[in-house]
Amino acid sequence: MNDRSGVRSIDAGAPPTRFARGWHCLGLAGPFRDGSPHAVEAFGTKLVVFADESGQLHVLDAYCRHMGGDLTRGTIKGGSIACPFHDWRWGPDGKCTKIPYSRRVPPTARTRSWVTLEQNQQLFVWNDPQGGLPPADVTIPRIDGAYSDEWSNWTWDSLTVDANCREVVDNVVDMAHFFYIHYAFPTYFRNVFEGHIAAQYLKTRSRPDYEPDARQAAGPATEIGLVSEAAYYGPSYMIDNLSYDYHGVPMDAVLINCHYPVTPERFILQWGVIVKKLPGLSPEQADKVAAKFAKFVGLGFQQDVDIWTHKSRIDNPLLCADDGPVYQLRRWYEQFYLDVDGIPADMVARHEFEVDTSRAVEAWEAEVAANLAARQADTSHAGASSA
Amino acid sequence: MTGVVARPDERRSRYCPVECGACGAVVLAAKFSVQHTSVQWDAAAVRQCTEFARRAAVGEQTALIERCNAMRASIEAAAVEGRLPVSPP
Repeated sequence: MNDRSGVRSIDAGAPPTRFARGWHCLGLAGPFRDGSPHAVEAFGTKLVVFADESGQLHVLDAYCRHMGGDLTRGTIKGGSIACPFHDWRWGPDGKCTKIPYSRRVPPTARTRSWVTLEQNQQLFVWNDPQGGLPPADVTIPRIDGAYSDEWSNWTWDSLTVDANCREVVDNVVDMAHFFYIHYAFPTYFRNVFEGHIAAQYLKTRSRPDYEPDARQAAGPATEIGLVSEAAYYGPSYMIDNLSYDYHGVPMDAVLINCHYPVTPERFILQWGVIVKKLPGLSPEQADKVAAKFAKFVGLGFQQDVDIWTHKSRIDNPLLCADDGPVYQLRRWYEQFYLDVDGIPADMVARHEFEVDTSRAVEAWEAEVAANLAARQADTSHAGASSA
Repeated sequence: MTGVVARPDERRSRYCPVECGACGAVVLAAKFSVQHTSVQWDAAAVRQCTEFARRAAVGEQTALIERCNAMRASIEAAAVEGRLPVSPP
């Protein structure tokens, strides 16, 4: 990896030419049920999402197989989506159900229908370049809080990111960026990869030297800190169970961090939050607490995006002893880009990696102390000059 | 060819086999320092682990179990006894 003069070179590689096999969340299900077709650009194409009379959501390729009309600009008629160009009607299973001006629907009139799932009040589509159906053992798990009156409603936000989606997945193993990018101070960091699941166990405390506005408002990482147990279920949907201190009160929250690819070099990053209602809080107040936390998360993602859209893709990261298992995570992630029968057993075998945070904590404590001392000196100086 | 290239971790070289004192499952372990631990299981070792089996029997997914405590203890013992080197990669 190093040339003759000992200089390390970056192998930028190239993004994969196909899209990951797996369930991909397209967002909260409710807004898709407003009686209109919705456009989603994903997997290198355009999809149309529409609800039938019973409210069931369906996803088809957006471009009409007749003359290429855009179904997302059409209308829902009966249980079918009607093309704005010539009124061809397409049913939930992708079959053409009616061509009003013709005596007969051609027997080959069938477009691509995508397998969907509604779980946790969110809509998912199954992508499989081999055309396979989703196995039951990789389904999206149910989040009990999403179905409970004891919890707030979902917040939901998204960002378009001009980078390959591997960048966001890499965060699973990136202990140190939590300090530099997310105002957090990791003290414990462990990963477990097994089968289609990649988990991250994280404990952080606050950085008293860093108080951005959103941090002050949300306050999720005080001295008592934050405990996070997060896992990707498949290539793109992470459920993060969080406990943190909220003005001295222990808070439970669930954060969804998910994405779907638009092209190999663009993805839509989405996040949603629910919080468990504190005693005495109204539903509206609980929703506000969730919104504050989501705002804090969003600030963190914006910082990530700023890094991702300026960095180089790198297939050969140069790691130190105190970095996480980047290569093992990427090997786990590769399974979603291979044919099912081509996945080697060791790619999905259990791997555990616990980062030694002791050196990092020592260095960061010194950095935080220096920042606080500098701020103290500034304050005293300002005080002296104003006196 | 999908264009994805997964490479081996350049830090891999110091992995050593460790046998669990409780169930006899064998894993590959590495310690870059006293606090760091990396454990590579294979499917047979996961099946052999009695702690995973006990928890899987009551509905847990092994992927969501943070660790097997007996295996962790065996790895720590191997490190203390010098059977597993503790050194930066």
